[in-house]
Amino acid sequence: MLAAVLVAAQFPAWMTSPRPMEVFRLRASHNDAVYSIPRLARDLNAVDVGHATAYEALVTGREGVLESQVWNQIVRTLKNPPRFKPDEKAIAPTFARLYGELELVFDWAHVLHAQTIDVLASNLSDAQKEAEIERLWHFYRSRAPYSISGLPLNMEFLDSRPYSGNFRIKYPKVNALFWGYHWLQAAMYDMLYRVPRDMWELSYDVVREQYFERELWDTNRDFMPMFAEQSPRFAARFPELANAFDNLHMLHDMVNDILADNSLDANQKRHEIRMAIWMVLDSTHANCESGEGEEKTLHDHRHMNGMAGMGMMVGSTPELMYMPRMGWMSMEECHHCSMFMPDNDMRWRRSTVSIDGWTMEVRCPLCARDMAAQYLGRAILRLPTEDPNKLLVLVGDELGNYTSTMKGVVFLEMEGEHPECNRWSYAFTSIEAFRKYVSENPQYKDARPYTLEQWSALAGKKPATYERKQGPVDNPYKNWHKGPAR
Amino acid sequence: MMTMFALILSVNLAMPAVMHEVPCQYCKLMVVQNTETQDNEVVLQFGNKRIEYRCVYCAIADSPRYSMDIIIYAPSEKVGEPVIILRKDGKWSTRSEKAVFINKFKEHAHCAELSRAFHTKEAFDAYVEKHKVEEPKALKLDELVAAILKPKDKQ
Amino acid sequence: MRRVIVALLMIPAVGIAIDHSKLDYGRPLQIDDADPLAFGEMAIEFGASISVNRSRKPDYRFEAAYLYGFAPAMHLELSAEPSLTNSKSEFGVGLFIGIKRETDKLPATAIKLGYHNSDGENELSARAILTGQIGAIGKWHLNGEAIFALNAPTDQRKTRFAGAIGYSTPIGLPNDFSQTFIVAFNIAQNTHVGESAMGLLGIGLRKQIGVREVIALGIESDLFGVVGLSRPSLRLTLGLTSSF
Repeated sequence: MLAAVLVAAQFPAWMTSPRPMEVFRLRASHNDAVYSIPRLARDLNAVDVGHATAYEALVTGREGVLESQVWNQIVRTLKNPPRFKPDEKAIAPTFARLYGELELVFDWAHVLHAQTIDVLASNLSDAQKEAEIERLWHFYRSRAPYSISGLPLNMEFLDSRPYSGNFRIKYPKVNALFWGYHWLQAAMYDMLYRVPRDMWELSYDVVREQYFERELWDTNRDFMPMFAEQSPRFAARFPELANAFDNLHMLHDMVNDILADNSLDANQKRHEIRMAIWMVLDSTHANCESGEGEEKTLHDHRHMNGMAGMGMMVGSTPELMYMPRMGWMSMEECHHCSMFMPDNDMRWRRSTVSIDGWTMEVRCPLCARDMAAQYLGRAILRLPTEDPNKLLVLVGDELGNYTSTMKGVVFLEMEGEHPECNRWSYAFTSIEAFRKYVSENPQYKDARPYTLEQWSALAGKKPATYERKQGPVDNPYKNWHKGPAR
Repeated sequence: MMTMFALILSVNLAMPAVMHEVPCQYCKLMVVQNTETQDNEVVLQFGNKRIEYRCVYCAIADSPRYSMDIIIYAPSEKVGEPVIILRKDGKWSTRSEKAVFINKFKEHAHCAELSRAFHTKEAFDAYVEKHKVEEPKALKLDELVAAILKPKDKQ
Repeated sequence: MRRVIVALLMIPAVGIAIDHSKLDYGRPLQIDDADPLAFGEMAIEFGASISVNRSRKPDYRFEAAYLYGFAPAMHLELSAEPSLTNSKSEFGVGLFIGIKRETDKLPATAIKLGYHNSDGENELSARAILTGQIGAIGKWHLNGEAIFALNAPTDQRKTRFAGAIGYSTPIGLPNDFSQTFIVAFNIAQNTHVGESAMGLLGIGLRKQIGVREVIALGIESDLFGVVGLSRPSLRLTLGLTSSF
């Protein structure tokens, strides 16, 4: 079946045409707004340099020093990021010359990446931002023939090519950089999405610390960072974008693996790269639907239950996936109390906790706080309030003390059974909102309003409902690329 | 800062709840969960953080990473009544005057059952008898800390 | 003689104008590369130059241009150049067509068609442009142009040819990713019948100074050609490009 699908692949005309066909970004007032978060903008500029520098080394016979000289050179740039977005073709002219069609795909998807972040970092209202991101997605898909699919793709299938795993095994340090970049590019979305402007820099303190202290250097990561693992709120709202970015990042991995495969000659590498592009293109999956498809094939468009913005992972079923660093997970349940999460119209009632490089959706503020308390490091909690349009963002310190720029915030916490936890654990924008809620819910009439400082110091009981998920194996990624696929 | 000290001094007598089955922060093996008849989870608390360890050895061995005052809740022979170990201003102490510890494991696979706390020597004796521990030795807290931490690590 | 330079100058910049590595005609040297503007991209450009002549007052010039990538691999250019010293107003229209991008075997190729008017003197032009990689990060550029004077007086050529060869390279890598050095040599037939060709050598720098802004600074000097009052000996150019 697989062979039939791949043999049947006919590359679209643009892919084999040498005609220049670059497309400019959507013209908009929000363009380059990312520079309102200067450190993020510069770090993203450095990511561009990192990508281009590694690719140029791989195609110019410098792979022997990729883990030493080239790595050092990239790291210097990451630590001294450029002020402006670099011209990647000037850094990697040979790569651009050899793989012009790939450059088109990468550049166009990177434009989508950049513009969606620009929107989130702009002065638009939350509603305007959502509309604008929809417009960007439409523009991305319709304006050029080389857009990447927004459907969930089976990551296990894409990472099971004969060349898969080469790069991460041969060049673990540079692979860690790539996955570190992709971690940042995924984590930054929930860092900004519906988050008040005055929390952006504070949040980026935490994200950036994690990026530079761990994510860039982690050579033990099981798999590339997935978008919905890092930004579940954005991925749930914009599943097609989340999938497109995951598919883009997987294309990066596939290209890396192909370029690192010494058993392929130049023509074979070009063919395999075109094949890899073809596999993730929007046009290749033109008649497919999200949630459908034959298991573990190119057209397996099933996704994790509860998260349409995430394709099937290695060893996963729609109910259960293995999340690196966290173990087996259900995307439908609270990761703290294992209760089903509010969904559809009430999805906005979910909280998230980001710490130690992962982000998890949880059911209530208590679940978020207590989950973060169990891990070392600084946390970001994103908690809904009584107002769907006002997200409370808390940034923690090393001791688990939280700060926020939302003045007057108070908490209800009258601990009971966790099936009701999103009723008895609640954040309010003001004491008046707290009183109104209590008056409408007399079962909490004895509850006291906790200040942020008081609430930060609380600790709930162990939820009786918590259930640790068990997968078919301990870790499906163990020896993933040492098996038959290689 | 005052808040932090206030918090650190407000020691719970009961084991704080930790929720998830996670790998031990030190030995990376999964933390053995509490059962109805025996507590197993070791919790190290500082500020509002509650970090889980697999055994008393792991918690003390990992303690040098924390510069602030810490509390270790060590599971004991009594469910819900941990032996509370404090490190305040670098000095180790315990709330249980008669507390003794076992620290006899050779591999971390056995650390949870062989690095534990007891409120009394009698409870220790009963435990080693029940688990047929060879050459058991009841350690006082200072002996335990000395056995685990190198001199430069003691705070 | 001066008309040759003007003709070369008047068809302005092309390509992904924001990239400092992109060569813009007249920003600062009189050479193009073969990359068209991206589809949908717009750019505005401003250029100012001073030509210092051995025997007459300096000639100040100012140019403004608008570029629009109206279709894939194609863009339109509109330019205007009022002279600040002799009140001659000029304007031009250009169509840049990218034919192919650079591949592992062949250089990037483009053509540019232009119309230029200077006080009633009309010219059409066609320029072929090649760009290829040389060395690790350098690029070579070759331009060949035919210019057709539609209403030339009898003492002037109706058709004349010009060419340029250039080299560009990013400088400052791997620490600085914002600037490109350029050197170019131009040669062009004189507008006047019987007069010899002129050669011009220039060096320049393109530097990104803002999120979407690039400045260009260049100096050009003639190497050979007709000795006469109208001959510029040295020209200093400053350009600014902003794309959006």
